[in-house]
Amino acid sequence: MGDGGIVSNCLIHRNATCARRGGILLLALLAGCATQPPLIEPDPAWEPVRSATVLVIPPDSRIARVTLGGMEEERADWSREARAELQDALATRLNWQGVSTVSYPSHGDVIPWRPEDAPLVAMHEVVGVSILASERLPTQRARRPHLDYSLGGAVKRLREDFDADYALFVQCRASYPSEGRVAIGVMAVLAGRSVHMGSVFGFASLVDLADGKVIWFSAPLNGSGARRGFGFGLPPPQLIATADVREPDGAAAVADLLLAGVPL
Amino acid sequence: MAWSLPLLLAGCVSQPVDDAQQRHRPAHDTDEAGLWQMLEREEYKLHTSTAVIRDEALQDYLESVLCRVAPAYCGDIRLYVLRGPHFDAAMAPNGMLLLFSGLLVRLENEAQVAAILGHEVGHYAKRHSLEQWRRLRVRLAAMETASTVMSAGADLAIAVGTAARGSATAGRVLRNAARAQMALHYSFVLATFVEQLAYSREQEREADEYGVSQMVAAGYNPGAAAAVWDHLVQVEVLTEPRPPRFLRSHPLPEDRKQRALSQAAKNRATVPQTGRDYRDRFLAHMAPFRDSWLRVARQGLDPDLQALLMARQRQIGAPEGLVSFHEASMYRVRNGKGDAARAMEALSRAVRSDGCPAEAFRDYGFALWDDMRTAEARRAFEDYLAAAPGAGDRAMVASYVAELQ
Repeated sequence: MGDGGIVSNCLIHRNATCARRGGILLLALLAGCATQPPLIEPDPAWEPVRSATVLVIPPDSRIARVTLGGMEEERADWSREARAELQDALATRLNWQGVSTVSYPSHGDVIPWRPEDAPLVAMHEVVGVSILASERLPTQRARRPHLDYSLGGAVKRLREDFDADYALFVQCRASYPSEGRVAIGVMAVLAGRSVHMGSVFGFASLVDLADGKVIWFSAPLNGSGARRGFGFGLPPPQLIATADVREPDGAAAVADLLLAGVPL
Repeated sequence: MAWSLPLLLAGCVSQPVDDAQQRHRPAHDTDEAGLWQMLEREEYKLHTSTAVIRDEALQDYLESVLCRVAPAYCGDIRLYVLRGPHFDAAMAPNGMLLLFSGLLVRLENEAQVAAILGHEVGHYAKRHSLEQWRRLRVRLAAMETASTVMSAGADLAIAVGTAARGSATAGRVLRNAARAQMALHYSFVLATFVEQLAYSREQEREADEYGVSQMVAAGYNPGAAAAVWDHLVQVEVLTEPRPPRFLRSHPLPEDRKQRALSQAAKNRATVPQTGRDYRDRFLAHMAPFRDSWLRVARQGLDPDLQALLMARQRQIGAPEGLVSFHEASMYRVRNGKGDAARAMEALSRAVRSDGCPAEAFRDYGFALWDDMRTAEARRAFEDYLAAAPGAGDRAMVASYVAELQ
């Protein structure tokens, strides 16, 4: 019902696109039930990277509001604010530990990357989701040579254009409740129920611009901000999941968590 | 009824939206900007999509029709022609308009394209997606509130019941409260669903009406809109299952046709001069694509709908050679009783008619060879080699000619 009406007004209701979207959703649900992947042991012989320049790609951020009824609505302003704050915080965090960074200028409000680079960001999403689906990350982080993933040779262009050795790609999906949703959350506690109050999810990859290999991957934000302050269950594994990435403090906290243990 | 209260409240809260202004861009901090952001990402993918037909002449032509039928939004709407089998078009709230090749290949004239474009622009102008989005939000909010209040009320009832009458009574209260809550929840879900669909049909009617009035203003024959819906009526007859009126997102094609006819008649009464169809120039612009679009349109269609597609091509006035060739392909793929003979007949008609693709000669050659008519088969293969000198299977077909000598 909603699909045809909300996102696009289909001319006739038996629309293949609408049906396909449903199929994709089903696939995504099935993908959640993957089998247990093998455990990766840390490699003591692995040498961290030294004195390199890192290009901080504008994070792929989608920030939504959880409305009173529980619908997640993307917000253009929040997505943009979070992207700018995160990009700043990531660079600051790297500079703080002595790593020099190059900033990637924004090329637009919704799609901030150059047209030739946007596919790399899409590729990073696919690769990151693949890593999460098929590798077990006991410390929520992994690095080469245990991790053997690549964004492909097209990244070499970034090395030439920005004179950098590595690129940091970050994906962030977050949602925060509206005031009405908070009120419902309080009422739900009285009724002994738990309702979705929003979440923070994200991952980061450090990519070698010489060959596109993912040399380090970090996914500490597992999104469980669902019971934000109201639930009776266990606290979320990462309290940071409630951080507000639209604000400098929240973005800094998320950047710290994402970049903890970065081999630079 | 208990559930009608939140529904009523919801009706009061959702505000109708104004028509889109020219050069409209939503403010950054609005829900509309969020909606546009999602669609802008989808549109961005089209730039690298192989489904998009990138042809300058076709694009210029369709954009000129768009600007004629909707001059106010000419600069706000981006039109994409996509390869796709269905009779379909779609309008996104951010101004991304999708026209599928399956639609263009079934239209007869420019006025019919204008009817489709006018309808789709109507959705944009009236900001229908935003309206639906907001209505859904308010209804979900009402539903969530009602259900939370009910849960809290049930808890309270249980507490009071336990204190006053003991646990046996409390158990009964709990069961009844849970049942009442379930009944309320599902009736509300159903009511919301049916009501959203009713609203969607209302929006479609509004878009239809907008389209026809734009056509009249642009000097197009408004009767073309009724002809478009008439095609949907014919498709409907051959389609199963047919959902009842109240479960449809769009009005019944019959109703759309009748409304378009009466609107056109009303316009004719006030504006005596009837508009034009521009059949020839439309068909000339579609001609280079018809063969490839027919191949796409035939994909996955039931035999009856394929037959309708072919009848439609003849009605449009597509070259007989092309239509017969596709008819033959349809029979060959179906391969039922008597289809080989039907394919042979269609191919022999194709090779003698204009607009026949080179492949028809090759297919005809194979069909004749199967029938042991070797001399004719050889001639057909020779005709194929003459018609397609650069064909990839040239050497193979040449070897058949030698074999049949």
